[in-house]
Amino acid sequence: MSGNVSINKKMDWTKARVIAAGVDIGAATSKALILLDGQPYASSQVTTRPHGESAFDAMKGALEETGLKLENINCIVATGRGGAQATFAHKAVSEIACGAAGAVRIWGPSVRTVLDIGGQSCRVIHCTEKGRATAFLWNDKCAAGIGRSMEAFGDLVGKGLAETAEIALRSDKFPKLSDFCAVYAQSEALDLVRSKMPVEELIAGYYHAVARRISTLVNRLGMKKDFVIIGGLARNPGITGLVEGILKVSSLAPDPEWDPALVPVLGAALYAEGFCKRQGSDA
Amino acid sequence: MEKKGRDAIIERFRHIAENTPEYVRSLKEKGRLSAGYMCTHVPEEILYAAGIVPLRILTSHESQAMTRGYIHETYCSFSHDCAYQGLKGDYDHLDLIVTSSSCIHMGEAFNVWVRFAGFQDKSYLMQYPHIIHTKPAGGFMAESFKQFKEFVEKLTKRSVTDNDLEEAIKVYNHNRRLLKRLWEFLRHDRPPITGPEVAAVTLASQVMDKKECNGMLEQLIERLEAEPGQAAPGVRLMVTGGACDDLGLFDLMEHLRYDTSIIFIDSCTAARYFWFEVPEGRHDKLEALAEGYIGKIPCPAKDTVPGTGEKKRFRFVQQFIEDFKPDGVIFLYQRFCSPQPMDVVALKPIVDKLGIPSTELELDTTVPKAQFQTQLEALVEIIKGVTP
Repeated sequence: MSGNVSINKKMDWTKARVIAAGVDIGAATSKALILLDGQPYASSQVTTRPHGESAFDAMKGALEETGLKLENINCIVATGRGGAQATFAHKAVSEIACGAAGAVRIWGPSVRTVLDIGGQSCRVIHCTEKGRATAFLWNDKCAAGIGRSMEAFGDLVGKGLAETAEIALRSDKFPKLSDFCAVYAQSEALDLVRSKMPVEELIAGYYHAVARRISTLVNRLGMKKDFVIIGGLARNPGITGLVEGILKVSSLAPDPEWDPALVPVLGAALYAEGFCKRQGSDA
Repeated sequence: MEKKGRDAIIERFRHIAENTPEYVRSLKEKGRLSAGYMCTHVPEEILYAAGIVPLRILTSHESQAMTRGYIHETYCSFSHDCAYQGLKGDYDHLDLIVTSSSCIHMGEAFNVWVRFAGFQDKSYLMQYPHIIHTKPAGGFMAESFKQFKEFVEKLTKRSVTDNDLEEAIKVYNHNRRLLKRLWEFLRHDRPPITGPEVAAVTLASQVMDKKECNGMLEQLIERLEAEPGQAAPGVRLMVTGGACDDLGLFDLMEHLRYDTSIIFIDSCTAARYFWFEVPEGRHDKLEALAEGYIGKIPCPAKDTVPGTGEKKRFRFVQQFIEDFKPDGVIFLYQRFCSPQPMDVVALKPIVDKLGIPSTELELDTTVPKAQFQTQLEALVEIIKGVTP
């Protein structure tokens, strides 16, 4: 599942015994994903607007072109920062539990540490082979080390995220910038822009600062192999490469079939499926 | 009818805890002297013995940009908030402001009151030993308390006798025992009172005339003892860390999507405030006070055993875990506080070893409630072993 809207047209929802869905209302994007008997069927991603609306838009995107209606779905689980606003969801589960469950489903039972770098927060999760979260750490209030700060920095240097990632990996030289505060780091960067430092070095410096910040969070909880990176910033090879370098650990290679931003919503859909099955067996 | 009485008492306690300046004004109207204190190392008994009502300066949870010019940005929000209330004039009715040389952040909040809020001539900074686990600490404290007593005598123009001190010690010890009985209810499987309610009562006790407080506590305990317990507490959560008087945050901890209960709060705004006693009937009252205050659950700012670096507070925390049996632990501390989060570095492995899941919440003037809620719910999911 990748792209803004994705459907597996080989599948037929009318033949499914259990239709389960997840909806993840993140700070930057909202996602929905539908499973037919445990297999990914349709997904969608939209930019987050006022929460309730984004939840609905994301689900509408996943349903479009499938012929499925909301009432056909047996169980929907909401997750993410605005999960509570997804009023059509039957249950809610934290993004910690969902991130762990989704990661183990995609990369397999060897996963023990999940680093989730989202738009507004960064989290490290330990989990079991069954995808059960056992411990976690969350970034503090500061925006350093999360997607929003990367976007703001891109605006400062006038480049998109993909371009800055490529430059960061290429540049050997980089100045030391604050890894304590996103605002301090950008203020320092602005001084360097004015002192005519090559923009490539500046970008590399900022990426190194962000990667140090993220790596500290991983080290505080402890690194247990296997290690995977999920969330929107997992698509940024500049960040993932530098984080791996600092931690001296390679993360499992991204699954080309899966957008890493969809991992928590997959977890939410897996929880929804589990609830359906348990309800069925109870009945 | 009985139930209504219990609720009314708790509501009154909560109202006082959340409206301290109003309570101070009411004391003034009754002709009482009152002293604000900024750290629980201040021996309230000496003030009380002199006829002064001691009350703790708590926070208002208002954004306080105006204090940035007086206290450094990277001082904790609790100190900024306390300084703010002095500057705002919320406590102009106080006759005295006191603190002890313990937390440097609160020390600066105190200085703001002294320098800029009109308390130049009605303030006292008490000396307190930097490390309390040393032989000379007791003597140092007794001498410091003696100087404080002399200051108070000068202020009130009356002498504080041994009888006055003994009476105050008894009133305060009685208050501590009553509060302890209240917290003991939370050990039960079906407690007749909730964690946030107990937290509210404990906060109120820090700002009230102790005799009035004791009377209300006795009535409350009597009613609670006669009541059957309420609902089963669900997942039992223990909070440990620094000063927190945000009752809304404790309410949040019990209003998650899962059933949860706060069963213990180890902080200087909760159990650490009262979980000790001062020896009664001693010949030297000031030495007795020093012994009592040294025996408190130590504040992390004072708690290092010279030579070993041992933190004595951890022994208490482990005992509380054994007695109150939490399923999960919440480390709660003020952003920019140094001693509290440093304690977490050493305390978390102990909690991990006991197999108790934990999470950390960092406090500021206002808190990101949605994020805290998610963190708390994730903690509960870990405790419950939730799987897809």
